[in-house]
Parts: sequence; C-alpha cells; structure tokens
Amino acid sequence: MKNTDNQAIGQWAALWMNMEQAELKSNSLDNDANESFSGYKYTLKILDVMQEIEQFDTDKAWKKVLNTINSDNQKNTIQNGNKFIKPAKFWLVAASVAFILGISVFMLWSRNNTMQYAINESNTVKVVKLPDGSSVYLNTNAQLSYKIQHFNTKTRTVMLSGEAFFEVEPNPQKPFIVESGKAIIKVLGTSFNVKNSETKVEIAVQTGKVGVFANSALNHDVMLVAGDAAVVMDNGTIEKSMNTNDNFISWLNHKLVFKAQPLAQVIMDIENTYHCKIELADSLSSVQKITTTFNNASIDDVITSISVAFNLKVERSGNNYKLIPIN
Amino acid sequence: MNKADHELLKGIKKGDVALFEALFKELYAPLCGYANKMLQNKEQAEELVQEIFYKFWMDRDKILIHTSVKSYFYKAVYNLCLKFIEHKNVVINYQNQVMAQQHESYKPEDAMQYSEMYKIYKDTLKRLPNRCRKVFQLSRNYNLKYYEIAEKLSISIKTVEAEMGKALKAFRQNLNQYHIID
Repeated sequence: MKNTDNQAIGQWAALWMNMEQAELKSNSLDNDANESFSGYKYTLKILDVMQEIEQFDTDKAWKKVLNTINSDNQKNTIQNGNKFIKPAKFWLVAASVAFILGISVFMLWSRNNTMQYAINESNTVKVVKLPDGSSVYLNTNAQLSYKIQHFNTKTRTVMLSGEAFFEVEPNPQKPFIVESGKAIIKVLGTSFNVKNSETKVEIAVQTGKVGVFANSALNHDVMLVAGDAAVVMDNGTIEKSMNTNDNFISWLNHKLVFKAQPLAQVIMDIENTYHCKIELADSLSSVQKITTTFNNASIDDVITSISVAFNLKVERSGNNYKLIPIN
Repeated sequence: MNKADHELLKGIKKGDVALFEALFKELYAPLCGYANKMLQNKEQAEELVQEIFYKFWMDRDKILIHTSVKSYFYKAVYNLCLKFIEHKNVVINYQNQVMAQQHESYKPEDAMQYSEMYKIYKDTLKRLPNRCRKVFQLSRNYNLKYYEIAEKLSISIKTVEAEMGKALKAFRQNLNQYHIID
C-alpha cells in the first residue's frame, strides 16, 4: 500500500521534472494530478534552491579564507610586539631574535613541510618507505607525494598519480589516506592497489579493510574488504565490484594467472606486467582462450610459452614483440 | 542577541579560529546561494561571501552586532550585492538597473532561513536509506533518467520510482513549511 503510494509520487516527479526541463507549464498535466501533487511541486522547487547551494564547496573556500588570514597574521605579529620596549631597540631585538629563530625553525620546518616527491621513471618497481614504516611500491611512471609533517598529525596523507601498491602499517589512531584523482581512500592498516588513469581511479584490496570516498559534493562512500574492487569515475560516482582480475598486482610480483582468458586480455596483462609492447598479426584471432600460470618468469619465457601454445612465431626488436602465426 | 550568539562572538573576538570555522561552515554555502540569486554569477557570489568572512575576522574587535550573527551576515551579503550591482550598473547601465530593482526584493530577512533549510536538507539526505539516497542523487544531481538509474543500480524501474517517492516524501515533510524566495 505504502509502496504504490511512493511509486505514484516517483512517477509524477519524473513527469514533472521532464516538463520543467522542456519548460512546459503544469496545465498540460491533468487537474487531478496537479491537485494531489501540488505539495510536491513546492518540494521540488525548494530542492532546486538547496541543490544550487550544495554546489558551493565550503571546505575549499574555508581553506582559501584561512590561508589569507594566516598570511596576514604573519605580517602583523611583529607590529603587535611589546609596547614597553622603545621602537628602535625593539626592532633591533625583534629582528635578531626573529633571524635566529627563523633560521632554525625554517630548517626544521622546510624539511618537514616541503613536499616530498617520489617518481618512478624506470621499468622496475620502486619501493618508497614512509615515515610511519608503511611501504609503497610504485609502478612505472607513478608519482607519490607527501609531507613528513603530515605524518605527525591526526592522519597520514599521501597523494598518488599512476599505479602503486600500498602496505600500510596498522595504526588505528591515525588513518592512512591516499588522495588520487577524484578518489579518497582511507585505511587503518592493510594492503591494496591503486591505479589512477586519466578518467578513473581503480582500487583493489589484497588484505584488510579500505574505505573509498569520492572527492565531490556527494557523500558517496563504499567499504571494501579483501577481494573487493572499486572504480571512482571522474564525475564522482563510485562503482563497487568483486575483483575478478587475478593479475591486478602482477606488475609487482610478476605472477600471472590466466583462467580461460582470451588472447587479447592475456597480451594486455603481459604488457602491463613487463612494460613491453606486443603486437598481434592481423590474421590472429584474439578470442582464443588460454589457461596457464607464470610465477616470476622472465618476459622471454612468457612470450615463448604463449607462442608455443598458439603455434606462433616471435619477432623481437628491443622491447617490442610481434606475434605471427606459423602456417 | 541571544546567549549562544553572545558566546560565539566572545570566542571569536578572543581569536578562537575553531568557532570561526564552525560559523563559516554553517553559513558559507547558503550565503553563496543567496548572493548568487542576486548576482546571477557563482564565482562573484563566492568571492563576495569570502570577502565578508575575511573582513569579519580581521575587524572582529570592532564589530558590533545587535540582532543576530546570522542576520548580520545575510544583511552584509545583501548590502554588498546591491553595491556590486550598482557599480556594475554605472558600467553597463539601463538593463541592469531594472534587474537591480528586482533584486531589492530579495530581502535578507527572507533569505535567512536558507541556512536552516540547508541544514535540514543535508540532514534529511543523510538519513535516507542508502539505496533511496543514491536514486535521489542520481536523478537530481546527475539528471539521470529513471531507466538509466534502474540499469546502473540493477533494480527495476518500479523500485526507482518508489525510492524516489520515498525520498521526496521525506523532503516534503521536513522542508515544505519553509518559505522560499522566487
């Protein structure tokens, strides 16, 4: 009973919102409907106002205002000094004290407060040890940045672009936060993979629990446990799913598992793992399937196995491989 | 001025940034909504409201408030917006003059309840069951059609309709008592 009621409101709302978009007026809806839903018309009007307000990013604005205030404060502190010291002398004392203090504070502060960058430009995995003992394994072209200072505050925050695997030291008092594209990933102590590409951020969990938030006005959030994955799209939506990709950290452990995978997928996984380019001859059907496992094999071993299984010939130049059928 | 406002102002005058932050977070977005209604320009609206908060903090020692902190801010937005429009009018003149007169009807007393409504709106949104909230946001914030939402969440269109109705019911119950400016 209550359900049909809700449904009727929902149906009417869709109609009404469509009409508004088309700038039609209510007289094209029949009178009965107008009568019984007039209260909801007003509700939708209020919601328009509220959702307009919702677009304003309070946190961002607060940071901006706070920054302006802080920079002004720094300018003012010296001028508000002790009134009992005569101005000339005051300036002398203030200047020398400020100088000595400044230098020592600056040296400490600059180490703690400057952004630390770790960039992996090589084709091998780069390991970054964080101040709290956590490890971050950077894939090729990944960049991690953080401030040492951030590890002394309530949370441990790092920023990532590209792909990396995190092993986070447990510390329930200080959540570990990864900011990557539109995604904010919050954990207490666990291991997980983050892959940030142009339009989305993919998260897959190896052990423990991970909270994923979208950095947008909406309060979307999902909780992931081992075996789960999530994708945060550029528009702030989050999709949670089972992690069906067995090879999500193959770039790290060089362990590849294929269970009846089509050749095209297999090639893609190998490329991602070994940072090479593999080209398939046009005549080759990419839908043929293969089931096999590689454990820390070299790229040559992997390519050889694949070519034997599919009866292919390999042409190699540097990091590029071309697979051609043998007829 | 009531007791809570009195305490708030006293704290801010002493330099309590946390109190100032709480005030900012409560009022910022609704004030921007109000300024935007008058200026029809989101960026200008935000800049103007930030400026007001900044000045409020810098001049906190000298500020005297007789009515309430909230009404002080809404009036400040109103006055500054009018000033802004007038200034623009000198530049662009006639067409906007007509607009300015129209804007005079957006009285701060009417807009003041935006803050309260917005709080209730956020609260209602938070209390909606998960799926219900998702349906509502996908429809209202992302402008998805019901069938698109149904597909996205793997539920039936009927369920989408019912969830949407449920959400609207909750908002109607909590918000319809308020009056909004057209």
